Amino acid sequence: MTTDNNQVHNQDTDVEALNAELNVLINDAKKVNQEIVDINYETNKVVDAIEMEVDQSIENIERSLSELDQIEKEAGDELDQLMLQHAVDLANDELEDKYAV
Amino acid sequence: MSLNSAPQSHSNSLSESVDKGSIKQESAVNFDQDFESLNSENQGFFSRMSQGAKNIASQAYEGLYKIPLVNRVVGRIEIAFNQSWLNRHDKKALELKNKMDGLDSQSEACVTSEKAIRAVIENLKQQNLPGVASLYSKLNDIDQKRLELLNKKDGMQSKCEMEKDMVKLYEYKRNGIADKLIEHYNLKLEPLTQDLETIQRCKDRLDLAIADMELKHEAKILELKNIENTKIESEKGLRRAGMSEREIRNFETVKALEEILKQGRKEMKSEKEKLARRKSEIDLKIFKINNKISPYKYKQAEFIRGKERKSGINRQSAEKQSGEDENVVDETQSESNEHTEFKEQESPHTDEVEKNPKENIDQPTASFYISEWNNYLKNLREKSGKGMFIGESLDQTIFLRLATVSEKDKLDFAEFTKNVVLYYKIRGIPTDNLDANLKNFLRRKSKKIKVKNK
Repeated sequence: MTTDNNQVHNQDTDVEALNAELNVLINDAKKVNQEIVDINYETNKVVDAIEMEVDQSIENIERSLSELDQIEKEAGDELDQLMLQHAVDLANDELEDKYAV
Repeated sequence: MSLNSAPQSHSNSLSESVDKGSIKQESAVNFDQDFESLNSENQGFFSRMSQGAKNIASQAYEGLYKIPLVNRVVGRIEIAFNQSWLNRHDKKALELKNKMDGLDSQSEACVTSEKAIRAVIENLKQQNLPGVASLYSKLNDIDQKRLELLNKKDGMQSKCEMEKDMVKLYEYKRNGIADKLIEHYNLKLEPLTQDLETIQRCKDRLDLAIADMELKHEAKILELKNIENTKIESEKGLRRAGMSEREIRNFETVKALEEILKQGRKEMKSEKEKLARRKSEIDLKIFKINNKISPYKYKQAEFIRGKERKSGINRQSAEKQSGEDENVVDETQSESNEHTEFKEQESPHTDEVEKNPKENIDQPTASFYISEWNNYLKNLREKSGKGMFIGESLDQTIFLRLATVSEKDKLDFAEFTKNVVLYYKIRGIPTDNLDANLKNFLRRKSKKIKVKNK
């Protein structure tokens, strides 16, 4: 009976020790998880900064392209105006020659 | 909007007799399409243009509507630098040259007749024969006719000059617009390249950040694995302590630990997926912006190519023309083509003398003329003499572009004068007394010019 009691007592002690060991593992695992969260947070911070920089550059590019569109439009209009005026000058010139005495 | 159906303004100076039946229905459709991209101001101008002018413009603009909208400005550059504009001037210059040659022949015939009549008069005088008076009258008639011919030729010469000015003015304005466009493109695309480089660097940094995270995750996976291995050992201990598998599975600390391990792994997996999504979103943004820039880069190259290629065609055409019409090519036109050729050939590797067909070592350089003329004007301003031409100083860049020469190119005084007149006309500065001042300038500077010539 005493032997049985001793055995039960030993088993309980083992379980308690193992439980304590598992609690340590829980703490270790929690620590690792926290480190994972930190790693992810830091990575996200870096990616956020990178994305912001990309967005800023894209915004700059979009602005430049939109300015180029405007410049193109103005140049196109100026060229049209020049060529139409030149066509008028040439037509007047030809007409003048036609009716020249 | 139907441009053909736009009302013709009878009051404006552009109107002329309209041959309404000259354009077929089918071509009229394309005619409208070619001009539909004009802005409202130019459409208004177009609608007031004579049919003749519309036909000329139509030939130049033919097929513009077929070019995708985004590339229409490239099309316009192509049109503006099209040889067809110069061909018209070529034709006109050739006609004028032929007419002037005809007048020269008639004038020479007059001189021959005059000589013959004078010989007859001399003969009659020696023989004391009558009829001299009527021959003198004939001589007067011939003189009168010769004078008329000379006046006509002068008129044509002026016309030639006007033609030349028209071409030069057109080329000057056209080159100005193209240069401005190219300059703006370079100006805007340059920082854009820097932005693209920044984006590329960001992309690299992003890859690096993700790789770095994955590496750290690997380490954490290992740590979690070690914890799990220890947990397995503890579970064995629990088994040895007599716990059943079910009891172990339901053992609080085991359950809690398993949950925490699962959570850690899930955290890494979901973060990896999230970052992969973010990365592909950023990549997509970069891909889109690169795609957006590509047409602009293409256009930038096309503007330069368009300008150079068309100038090249002009040169070839000029060479061909000079070969075909060696004896009749008008000086005006060949000079005009020379300008294009000269500009085209500008290259740091080209020999100065070869580069400029107008090179003449006996003439002062363009920059010499400009600085001397500006000094002359400065003196005038200081004296503030009445009736003197007080024009603005010449801007070297504008003058050189207008004259299509470089600062080191030699100019004769006539060329300088011609371009000064054109310069002030273009700048809208009154040219009263300009001629007198140019003569005065030459008189004062002639010594210097001679010294310079030596």
